[in-house]
Amino acid sequence: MTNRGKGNGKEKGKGKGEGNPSETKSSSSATVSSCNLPQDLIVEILSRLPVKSLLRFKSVSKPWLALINNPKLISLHLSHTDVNPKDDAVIIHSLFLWQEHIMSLLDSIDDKPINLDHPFQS
Amino acid sequence: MATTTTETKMLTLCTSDKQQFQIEETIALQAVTIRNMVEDECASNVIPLPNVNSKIMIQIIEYLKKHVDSSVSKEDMEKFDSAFVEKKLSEIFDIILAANYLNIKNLLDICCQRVADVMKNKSPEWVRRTFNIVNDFTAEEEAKIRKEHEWAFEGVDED
Repeated sequence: MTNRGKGNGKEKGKGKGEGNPSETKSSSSATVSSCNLPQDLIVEILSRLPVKSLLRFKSVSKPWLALINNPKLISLHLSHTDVNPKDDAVIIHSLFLWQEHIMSLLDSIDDKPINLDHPFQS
Repeated sequence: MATTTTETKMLTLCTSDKQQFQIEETIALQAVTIRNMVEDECASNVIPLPNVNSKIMIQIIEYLKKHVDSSVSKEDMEKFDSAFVEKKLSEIFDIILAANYLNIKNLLDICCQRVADVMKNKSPEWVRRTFNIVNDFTAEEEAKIRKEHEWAFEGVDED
């Protein structure tokens, strides 16, 4: 069998007719972007942005707000910042912001602050 | 033929628009997807790449040809990379999709970084236009979120 391609996007028209009962509103993850980039690639791009830009792009749309608030993006972001230690000030600045940001996220779940992995504490 | 003693093994790649590209195997194998296909012997003579068109393939081959060359210094490679991503964003998006499908990590990295560099000082409106995103916030919701991060809107590029 040579049928191992991932083939996302290419094979349309399989199950038309069915589904899509007149676009319901809430399906947030379905259309994060229609510039053809799937969500994981959007996340790849977002994880390379400075924190300031991310905070600004929270107001792009609800799906983007959810992506930017997702802890997965935060850890991916840290992993990229860590590889690139030339602007120490920027890293500290952004870490501080992220921590503040994470705290505010966690606030709603649990009052206790949680220690986060930190690139400078090995 | 038989003029050379060490024969270079060639692979033929077939793009979505049925163009065929003959390239050296060592160049093509940098793409993990292609390497897996060759290793699993899924590929006979022609490797079909239905998710990549010829226009993008030409650029990807240009990238792979440079990166297979171990004599290129790190500095020169970085120069090549930064010149390589000087393209329209729509083209970069296509290359990102292809690099993701072909599993060429470095290429994916530099293209995602390029998009991030272009967009970092842009407005949310610019992002919506560029990524074809519909603003699904109500005016009140949007105003509230913007207010929370007001400082992040300082020094934004004009659209």
